[in-house]
Amino acid sequence: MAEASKSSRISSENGSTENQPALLLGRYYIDANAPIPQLDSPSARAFSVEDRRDIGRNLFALICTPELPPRLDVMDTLKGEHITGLLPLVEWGTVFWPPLGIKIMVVVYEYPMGGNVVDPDTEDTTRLAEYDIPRRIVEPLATAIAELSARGITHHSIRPDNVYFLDEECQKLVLGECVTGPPGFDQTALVEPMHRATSSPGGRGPGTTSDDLYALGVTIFIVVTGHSSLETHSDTDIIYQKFEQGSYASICGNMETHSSLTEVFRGLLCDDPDEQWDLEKLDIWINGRQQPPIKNISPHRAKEPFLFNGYEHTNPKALAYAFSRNVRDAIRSIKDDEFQRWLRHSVGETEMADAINNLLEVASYNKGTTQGRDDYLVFRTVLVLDSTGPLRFKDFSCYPNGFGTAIAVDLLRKGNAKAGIEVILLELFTYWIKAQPSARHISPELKIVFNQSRNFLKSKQLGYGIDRCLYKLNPGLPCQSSLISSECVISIEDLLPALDNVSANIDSKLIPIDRHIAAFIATRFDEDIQPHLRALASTKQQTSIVGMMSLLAFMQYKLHPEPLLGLAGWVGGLLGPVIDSYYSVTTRRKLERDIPKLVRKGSLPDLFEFVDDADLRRQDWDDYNEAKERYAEAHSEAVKIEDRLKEQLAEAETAGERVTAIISVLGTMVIVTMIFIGHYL
Amino acid sequence: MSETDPIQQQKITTYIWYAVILVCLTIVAFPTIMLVCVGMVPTAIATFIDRTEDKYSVYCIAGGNFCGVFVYLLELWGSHNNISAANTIFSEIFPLLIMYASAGFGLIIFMVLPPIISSVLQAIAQRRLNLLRVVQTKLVEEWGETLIPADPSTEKLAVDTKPE
Repeated sequence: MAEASKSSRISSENGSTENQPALLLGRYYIDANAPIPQLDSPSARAFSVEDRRDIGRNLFALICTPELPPRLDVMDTLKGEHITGLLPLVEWGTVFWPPLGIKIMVVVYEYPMGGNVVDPDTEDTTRLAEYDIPRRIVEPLATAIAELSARGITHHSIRPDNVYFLDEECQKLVLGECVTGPPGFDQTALVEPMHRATSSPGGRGPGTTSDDLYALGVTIFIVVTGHSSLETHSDTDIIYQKFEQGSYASICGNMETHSSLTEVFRGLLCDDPDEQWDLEKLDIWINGRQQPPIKNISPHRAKEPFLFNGYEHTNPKALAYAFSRNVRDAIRSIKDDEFQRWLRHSVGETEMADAINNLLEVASYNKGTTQGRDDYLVFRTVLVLDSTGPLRFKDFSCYPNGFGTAIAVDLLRKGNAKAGIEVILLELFTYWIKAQPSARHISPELKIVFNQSRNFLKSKQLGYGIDRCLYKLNPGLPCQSSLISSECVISIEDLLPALDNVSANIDSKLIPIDRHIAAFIATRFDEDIQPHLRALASTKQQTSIVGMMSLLAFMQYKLHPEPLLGLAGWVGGLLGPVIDSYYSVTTRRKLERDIPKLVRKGSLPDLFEFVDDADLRRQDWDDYNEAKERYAEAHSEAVKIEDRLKEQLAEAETAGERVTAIISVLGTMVIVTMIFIGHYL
Repeated sequence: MSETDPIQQQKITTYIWYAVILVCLTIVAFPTIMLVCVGMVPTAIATFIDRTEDKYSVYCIAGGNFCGVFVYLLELWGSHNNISAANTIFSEIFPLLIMYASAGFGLIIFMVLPPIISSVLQAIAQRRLNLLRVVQTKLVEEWGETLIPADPSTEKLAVDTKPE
């Protein structure tokens, strides 16, 4: 939905209004009014670029989709590198993009002057003859895959519309971009190995070099033949066909190719990982030497089909895929005796049937618990039917190393990642890892990441939860806080300047640190900020604001010595509860009077030190206690006087008479003495 | 009855002693006793009229009355100090007027002074109370209402000292 709206914004603003060119790193002018549709990637639109230092240089820029995590690590590795068979990545960075009015990730590439190897308009592939294939097509692309592999990278975006001629003479073939979205996100089921194709696009993970070689095989086939028999099919049909017939048979079908090409297609599109050609075998083929022929092994098929959702399945893996797509119907089929009978007698998988029977028994004993849930039972059944497939739970599916991007895509596009969160909380990944064949290496780091994510999810505190997982598992994902979503903040160093930039146009009553920003800082700020997060999460408003301020001040101290006037003003306006936490009105007034002076300095550490001065707080507390004692003393005395006054009111007359009597007696004595003295003197 | 007997006996003993002293004084200084008895009649009347336990009015009237009588006691003692001299004093209206008027003056003091003294005492206490309240108000203004203890007995005071 968000993507659609953004896309429509882009398209509606194209051509209709003149936009200022965007300037990347003070060097590359990206012209928002000059789109290059033929170089568009499914997740990134292409625009013309002018290099200010080299006007004659032919470049183009890909504008990334804001809600997709780009492959920053790959960008860093490929920037400035000249790898044979790979479109040179010149520069990348964030830039203010006028059509959207926000900062956005941009990747600048060299312009492929020869255009796409398969022109989508004319389907002109006649520029390549079959004898050119090994040297002109396969060799450069295989070299690129090998070079990337040597750097620990997979391309995972190899498809016919992403292969270009770099030169006008159409001699240099290169693979296009592979960084604007999650790995494999834009791949169709046609170019993905059957297992990866069953994963959600966001959860395919970086994959392996074998996956790149598979995609290369499909790409070469389409480049050579102009099309595939599956090209017009839906992704679901393609996946079913691959499971039923095998990749080679379903993609190449009955199309005739040169025998040497048949050999490479069989090798690259082999579904058996042990038999599939690797780079070494491909190199041998390029050099014209013979390879041992690949046995044409058809996928194991059941004697009788199993009807599910109107489709006759003859392969348990295809059925697993179908089950995972429809949990409600799947649970009925799983609980049906016919299903186990089919597995035992038609497929011949007795162990599989026993395992599923066991799962059903466990579920019936544990009704009302997780193990008795339908979606859990479907998850376990799917894993039994196809252990090498992705982890599939409800509508969520991914390979474990694509879990982060899958969560990001779900969260940013659907608005929630409930199924992904459940995968972690229910520890479903441990079942997936246990189910893998022993030959399949599972990185111990992966288990650590999952356990760490589980700990994050268990905590509801600010800086934890799904947001923390999101940034931990997606190092290239910009901060998704609504406060700074327009600033495309990827690096922690850019966070405070971004908050400073938006401070002028934001509701100043909002707290500058929300859940996303807290999680972003906790993930990318390489300092211990636990005390700040604990204070920030406090239910007491003043403690929370002190926590927020101390964290921002600490970050400015560590990262940005320069003044942040806007942010200081924003934070200064939120200090009311902190000032009110002082008991003395005089101190409060002094703070209120002096805060604007510090705000004008733009120094958060100074502001924090001033507002939360330990000595001042201690003095305030001591004086407060002293005042409390004085009040109590005054109160006690006042009560006594009041009581006495009440008594006096009741005995006023008597008291007056008593005093009068005393005065009279004394007066008499004085007068008598005076008379006596007066009489005798 | 048996408990009150010793008290009654003690009172009777006291009265007997008073009578003995009076008889002795009458024998020794009859003119003086005569002048005092006649001059102090208002005091005797006041003693009978004032039924209070403390008899504060008697102190006032007696004080004034004695001042008036004392002037003529001195005159008596300064003359022949005999019955004739005492009769001379009684035979004139002015000495009697002085003696009885001074008793009246004592009565006036007793009637006027007590309310005044009572008011003064209350005013002093009220002034101290006001001062304490001002101190409390200033403390609350500076340090806030949290100074006020959460004691129901202080509720009224808290309202009184609440800053505007």
